[in-house]
Amino acid sequence: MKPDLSPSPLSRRRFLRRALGVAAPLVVPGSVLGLGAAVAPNSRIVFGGIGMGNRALYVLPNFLAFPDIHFAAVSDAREDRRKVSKEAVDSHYRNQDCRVYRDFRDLLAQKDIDAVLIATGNRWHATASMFAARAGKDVYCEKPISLTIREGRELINTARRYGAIYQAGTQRRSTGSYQFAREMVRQGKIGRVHTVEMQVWTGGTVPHQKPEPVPAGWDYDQWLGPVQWRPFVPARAHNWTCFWDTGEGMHTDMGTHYTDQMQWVLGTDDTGPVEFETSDMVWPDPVKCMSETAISGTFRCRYANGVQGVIYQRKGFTDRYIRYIGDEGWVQVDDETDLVTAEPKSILQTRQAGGVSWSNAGAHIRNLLESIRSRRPTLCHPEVAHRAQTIVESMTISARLNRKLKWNPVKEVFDSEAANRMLYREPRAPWRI
Amino acid sequence: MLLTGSLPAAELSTTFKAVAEYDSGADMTPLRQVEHWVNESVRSASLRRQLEAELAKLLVPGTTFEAKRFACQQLAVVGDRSAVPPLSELLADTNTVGIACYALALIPSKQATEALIDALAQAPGQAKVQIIHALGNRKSEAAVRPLIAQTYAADQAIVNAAIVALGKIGGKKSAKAVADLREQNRPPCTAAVLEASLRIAEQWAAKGSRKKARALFSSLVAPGNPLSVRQGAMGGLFGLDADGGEARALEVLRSPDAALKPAAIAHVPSLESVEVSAVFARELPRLPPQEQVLLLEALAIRGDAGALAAATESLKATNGTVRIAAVMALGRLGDAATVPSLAEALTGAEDALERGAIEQSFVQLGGGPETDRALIARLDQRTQGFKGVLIAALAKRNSREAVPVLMAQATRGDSTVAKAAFQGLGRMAGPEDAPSLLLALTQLSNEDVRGAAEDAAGQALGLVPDAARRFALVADLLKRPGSVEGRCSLIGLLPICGDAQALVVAHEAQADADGRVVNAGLRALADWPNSAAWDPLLGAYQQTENEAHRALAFRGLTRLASEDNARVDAKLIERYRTLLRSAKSDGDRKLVLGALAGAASSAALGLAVEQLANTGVRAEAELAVKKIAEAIQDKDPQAAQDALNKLK
Repeated sequence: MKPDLSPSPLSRRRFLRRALGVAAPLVVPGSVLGLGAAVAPNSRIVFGGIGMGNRALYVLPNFLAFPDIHFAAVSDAREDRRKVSKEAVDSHYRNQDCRVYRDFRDLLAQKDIDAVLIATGNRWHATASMFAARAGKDVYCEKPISLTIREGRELINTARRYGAIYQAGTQRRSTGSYQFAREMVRQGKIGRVHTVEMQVWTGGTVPHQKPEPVPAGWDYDQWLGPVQWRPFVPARAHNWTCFWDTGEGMHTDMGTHYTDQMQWVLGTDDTGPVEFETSDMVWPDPVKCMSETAISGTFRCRYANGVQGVIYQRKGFTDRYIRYIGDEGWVQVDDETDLVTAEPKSILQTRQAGGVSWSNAGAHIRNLLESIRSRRPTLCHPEVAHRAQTIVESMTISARLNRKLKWNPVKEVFDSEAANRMLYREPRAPWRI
Repeated sequence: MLLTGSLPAAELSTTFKAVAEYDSGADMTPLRQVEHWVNESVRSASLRRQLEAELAKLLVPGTTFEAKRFACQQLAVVGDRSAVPPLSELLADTNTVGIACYALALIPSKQATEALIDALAQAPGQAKVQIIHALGNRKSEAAVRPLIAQTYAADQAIVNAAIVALGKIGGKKSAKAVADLREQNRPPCTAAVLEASLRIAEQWAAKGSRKKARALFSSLVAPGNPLSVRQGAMGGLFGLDADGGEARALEVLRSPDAALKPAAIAHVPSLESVEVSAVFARELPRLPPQEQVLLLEALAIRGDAGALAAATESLKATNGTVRIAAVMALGRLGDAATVPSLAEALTGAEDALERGAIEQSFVQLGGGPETDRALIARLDQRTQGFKGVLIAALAKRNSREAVPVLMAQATRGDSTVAKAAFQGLGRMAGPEDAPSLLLALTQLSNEDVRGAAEDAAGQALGLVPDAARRFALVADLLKRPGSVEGRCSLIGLLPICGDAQALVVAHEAQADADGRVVNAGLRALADWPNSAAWDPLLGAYQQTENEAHRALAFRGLTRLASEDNARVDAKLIERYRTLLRSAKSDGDRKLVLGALAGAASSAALGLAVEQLANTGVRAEAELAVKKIAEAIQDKDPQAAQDALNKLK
């Protein structure tokens, strides 16, 4: 009989005391490199923010916490967001110095800005990143990094062309729980991996709504950016994840976090699966809803070596997870709680208590700062991010065409002309790839 | 349903008529139907022709903009040359040129290119930019001549778009045009010309025209161009160099061109020659400290013998930053043989930062048990602060061989060393170490380390799989004579045993004549892992006259109640009622309400609602009501709504 390795009861007090004793990560302390609390102004990396909505405000404190970052400017198509984000930055620095731009190209033209945080809506991510790289800026961009596969490839080319350092904001490669799970898989603790299960939450639906006048202070043309023009409909603008040309739905928006992990753990960062298929798709009712993306469904991919990846879009927000299944066990990271579970449970014995969840992007930003200094690639450089994103976008195309697709990860083409014509969407001028 | 042939004309007509009138806000069923047909047409050429014709009709005047937009989206996937003429009609209008290009950019026939070229001359400004982008993305050489003409347009946006498009298309004529533009040196065009030039150099490199590519990249890497362009061009040159860029990176490193050096150093890990590390290491003494740090990091990534030698040599650097970079590199590169060098560095370490770096390196060193043994062998060294670093490193390395050594240090060493040893044991001790750690705890003479010793013993005890066995280990020692402090420590570990026998002992401690034992017993009850401790803890709460004990017991009781929130029953509700009734202050009541909020039941909701009347805890009561009401919304909507109404 196997011994019961479930943890015996430790009191909360004792547990917390142990958790606080967790070792620091193995990096050269920033202060050694002149990056401590008393960083000279000319040693700081000057950042600007592009797209300063909810996500930007969530992650902004993680940037501001670094003494070697100076956040100098913000831009957004919406006046209310420009105002709130300026206030947040100014409040941190206790001054009124944060510069404000409606058009991010004016921010990029500022010579003193070294790097940008891009936290726009998804439609802008690749385009704004490419504009930033062309302007000589380094980039931290929220996921998903692109909305078409060709756009992602062009992002890689552009970053290389200008020697830009780029970090995709997928965070989890910098998170202890996910690093532990990867280590366990790579040490062979679950045997040969044959399946990677991922789960994102059920997608929303958006009821029909008629166009309305654009609210004051909102530059809708700039907001739309590369997306072909369509009338302003509030519910569509506020729920942009539910439309193909602005968001591509939940399995794309969140799924890319987990395909990024799958690629990392499987060691396939420079390639990807060769086959995609979807099933159980539930779409919005067109009589009631204008939203386009799936409510729920199962999205599958297969690698050339037979490993299967499957994203379930179902259940609730807190039910997100990734599970690596091998022929001798499994290991799972619960994305909401950061909890790692495994079978056999002995895998968990070497897991240290505590650690910071993915929701704190500090370590991921630190990795970017080190790369800006050293000009070495980040953990989630464009090729890595593009390959992870390609998986979810291929799943999207498979779902939209309702057919199984074969994919050549070297040439980046499908076995279907229709699918290949969905690899790209021509942006609205003046925006371009 | 799978379609294999053509659709009935009437069905098509009805559906497409509805699409033609579509505006946001209307039923989208016809649009979804057409999308379905389009996807199905992948399998049927006749259906595809039929749909293409119908989609083209949506592009004529009289249909809504959204219908046209939708049609263009579909034609991007299934359109062919027959769709080109109606799409071309949309190119002259700034409102529709975008959606037309959306489709034309993806239609493979050359007629699409011709239509875009034909439209170029007459299109208005912004439309022209859109068409130029589409031509650039189609990469057709037929567009080169008209695009060259646009590089002399009056509108700078058109000029720049045309230059970039030429760069995308490439080929001889484009390259010549871009070269001419470089010669002309028109400042408003600089960024576009540089981008086009980089693109052309990339294309030449990809096609094997290395000489031309090298010449162009070399002109772009020259000082005077923006740093980003120079970095990109240098990357292009590295890719063309027969030695992978080794000589070029070295040249940059030796040059006064500080701006390019980090990118050159970043290239070092990808160089393939076996001599690379030694060659670059020789440059280290000539570089300023920051560049030495970058180079040491780059060499560490290479992970070869040359890198190891360089990092070891850099331990002697006079600059502390460089020394730390060397230490960190050695952690990545070294093994047991590296321990003496790092140990020597530790004796000379200038500050806690450097010692911390060395500790991390000790942890990271490869070599497994052999390295552990090399570290253990150094424990005899008497340098101040030395042992603490080694012990911490051994613990973080999870070295089983170090357990007896650390046990000896824990009971013999000075406070700092003993504490570090106990902390280390807490990290790596297994269930088999529990007896000796418990014994050490009872025999402890140094009270400064008791907390660390309790943690270590508790950690090992917790790993003993069987509760009865855990209790037996503690009980055995409790029976033996020993210090009061040792007894208190053992009582403090009873919650980790967690069984009925352990509970009895914790309870009995309440009757002890020594106040310290009473205190330890009460703390054990308050820390108990489950609600079995409720009655003895409640008894202690009700009987004690010591205010600190009362507060401790109350917190413990509240926690115990909350542990059962997942299984709310009448007993638990009665416990919450007892807590609220016996709370001595609003602070106590707030604590209870915080726990009660997690109990999803109508009865719990009732208790929370009752507290709304208490102004001192109104905010916490409201929060609890909201949380519980939300949790029971599906189960008992009426009760939830009634409670929420009370908040208005």
